[in-house]
Amino acid sequence: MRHYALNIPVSTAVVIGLLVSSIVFISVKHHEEQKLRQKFDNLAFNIAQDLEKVVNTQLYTLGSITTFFETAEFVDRYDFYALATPLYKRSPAFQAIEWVPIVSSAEQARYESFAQSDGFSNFHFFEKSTQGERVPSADRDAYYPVFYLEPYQGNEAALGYDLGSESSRLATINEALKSKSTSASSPVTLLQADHSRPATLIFTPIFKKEKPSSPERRISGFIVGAIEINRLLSNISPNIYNNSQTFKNINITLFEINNRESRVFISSKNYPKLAAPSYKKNVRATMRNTQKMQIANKTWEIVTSLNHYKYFFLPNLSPLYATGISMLFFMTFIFYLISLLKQKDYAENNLKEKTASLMSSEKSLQATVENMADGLITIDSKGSIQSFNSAAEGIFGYSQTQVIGKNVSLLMPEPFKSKHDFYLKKYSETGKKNIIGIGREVEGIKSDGTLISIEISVSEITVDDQAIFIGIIRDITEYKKLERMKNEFISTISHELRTPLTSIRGALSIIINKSQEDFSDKTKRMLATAEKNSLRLGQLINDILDMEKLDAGMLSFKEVILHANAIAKAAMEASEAYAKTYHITLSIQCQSPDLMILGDEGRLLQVLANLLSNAIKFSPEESQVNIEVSHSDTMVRFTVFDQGEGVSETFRPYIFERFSQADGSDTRERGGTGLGLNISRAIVEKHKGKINFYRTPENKTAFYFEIPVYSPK
Amino acid sequence: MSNNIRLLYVEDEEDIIEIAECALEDEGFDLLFCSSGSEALEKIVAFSPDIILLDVMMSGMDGPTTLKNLREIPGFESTPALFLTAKVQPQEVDVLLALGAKKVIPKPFDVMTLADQIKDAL
Repeated sequence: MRHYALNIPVSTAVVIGLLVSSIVFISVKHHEEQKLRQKFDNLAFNIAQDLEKVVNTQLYTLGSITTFFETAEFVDRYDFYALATPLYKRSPAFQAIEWVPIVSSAEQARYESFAQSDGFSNFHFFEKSTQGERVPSADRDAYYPVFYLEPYQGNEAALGYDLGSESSRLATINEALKSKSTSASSPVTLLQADHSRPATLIFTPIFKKEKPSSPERRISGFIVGAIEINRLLSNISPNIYNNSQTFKNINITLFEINNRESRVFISSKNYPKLAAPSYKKNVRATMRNTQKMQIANKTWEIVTSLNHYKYFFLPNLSPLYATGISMLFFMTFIFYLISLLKQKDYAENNLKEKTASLMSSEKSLQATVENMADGLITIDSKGSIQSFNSAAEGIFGYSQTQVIGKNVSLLMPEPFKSKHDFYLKKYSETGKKNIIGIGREVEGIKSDGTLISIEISVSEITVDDQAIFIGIIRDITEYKKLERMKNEFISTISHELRTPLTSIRGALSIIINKSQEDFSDKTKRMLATAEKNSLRLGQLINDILDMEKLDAGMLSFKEVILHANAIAKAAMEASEAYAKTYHITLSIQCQSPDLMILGDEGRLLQVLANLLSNAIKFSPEESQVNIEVSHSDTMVRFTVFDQGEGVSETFRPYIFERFSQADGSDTRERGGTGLGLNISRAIVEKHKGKINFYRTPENKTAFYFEIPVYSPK
Repeated sequence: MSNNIRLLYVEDEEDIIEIAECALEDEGFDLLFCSSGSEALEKIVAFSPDIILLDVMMSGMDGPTTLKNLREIPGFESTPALFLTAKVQPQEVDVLLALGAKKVIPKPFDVMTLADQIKDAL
């Protein structure tokens, strides 16, 4: 009893499990079958459509020949050969294409002699006797002989055959004459083939040339196409619609539905390439689909069928075992479902949050980029523009949609336009940078073709293993224009200042040198001060002019071969007078043999004069300023030593910068423009040299510059 | 007839003419100052200078044009010519020399050596 009682819930579970699994099984099988049925019907429909299309192509081909016969004055045998050959070659279903004129008995002899004169000496209208022998045509009112025939080879047997002599063919001729339209015959056996190759003859009427007002259109003959049905069926391929190979061993059978609504078998074809592997016998089934089509006054029926198909496969197991499995499956399924739902819920929430935060950060990034004052363009490693913000639109005059996907060289003038791809390629191959970096000034070209000056900073990032270049662009056209105006102004002012300065200096110089004795000592001192300051003013103008040239990159040099020692001596001599006013003694040591250097004499003298005047200015009175020429293997060094206080610690980093002087009081006391060392550095660097200073152990200040030794090759 | 060098100086700045006159007097020159290129063209034949000194930037006809026009007057095709100018950048000097000038003296010039610089060019 106990045992029995215990079994109740188990049996219930088993029954429920069984019930559930059966329902599942049945519904799945049903659904699967329905799906298969649907698929199969589609396949059959497509096959029928395909067949209809193929047949229509053949009809169209014949139609094109009849048109020719209707319009040409006369079509000879060679014309027909030329016409028909390409057509039957293109449509392999044709066994033959024929011209069949309607010939009255009165005309028979004329036609026969005409064909004989074409080279067919035995040509006569003929028919087949009941024994199947070839016999001359019986007397009739009209004949329908095969007169022209292509291809002749293989179809010789049909030439001259009177199609009207055979009942099935005659019925089709009469049908075509009556309906005045293309008519297909019921399946016939061709003279040139046996009954295993059924064919249909398609009679396309040729109308006589007549006035359009004529009430009736009369038929002069036919273009007849002999179509082998088997070849027709070979022209369709169910495989195209059966790509998943769901269906195996498809059979297509063609019937004609005759006037009495009964089926006449035409042909049948299996598609053995699709032959099925052996399936379990208990899952065999058949499917069948019937489609009808109208072909040239005939109704054909296409029956597509198959014997094997796959469907849901259930192993043949004992019911208890199956129930256990189905229950286990059922429970597992439920658990799986629950966990899936939970997971999905979690994932959905998570995704929502992430998407929201991503979207807001993406949006804010987008807004930042769009509202940047600077243009931002990104390109890929091939140079295609990937993004283009609104500031970039403003700078270049293109809209985003016009440039995205285009090559960035669109925005560059020549010669960079044509070289940019090469630069990119070179960078990706060799890492050699042409533009990457901070703040380059380059030229760009706007959509209307105007050149603009831009400052561009390019950086590279890698996204998904792809290099992307980010260019930040600032339009500096206005700034450059102002700068140019400033430089031109400085240039003009400098020239204009020289003219009055010439007069002042000239006048002072003449007074001082020619009429000294007429003046008191005080007047002489004043004149000396005036002259000294006019010299300073001249120097200031020269420095400003040089600075402007430096900025414009136009500080020019005339390089010649020079004697290093001679340059130093000349510089010393030139500064002699200035040194005297500060009571400084100048001396020179040339440690080197007289080395050659390549340089601009005037500019090098300018550097030395600058170093000397600084040394003189900052030396204590009655002290020495010393010039030394020394050399290494490759460089010649000019050093100017003084006994001044030297350069203060805080000032050292700025000493070669523009308008720098140690402090305000020095400026007033010692004079100078604060441009001298800056210009000197530029000149020395142009000579591929360097300029610097140091403190000697003897507490002297040494300013030196060195430039390469010139060695004639 | 003295042995003085006949110098034609074309300069539109009166002050500079005055300075130049002071600098060159008693240095063995016969001087003719013209304040414009066209004046120089009028007077050159009568004066028949041994050497011509020209300012570059002048109102009206500038120095290079004046020189070109003077060169077309028969007899002055190869008279030595010097420019006196504030345009002293190397490439500017090259342009002036290419026009056939013997020398370019930068402004401001040294009054004490001006006479010698001119004589050197002869």
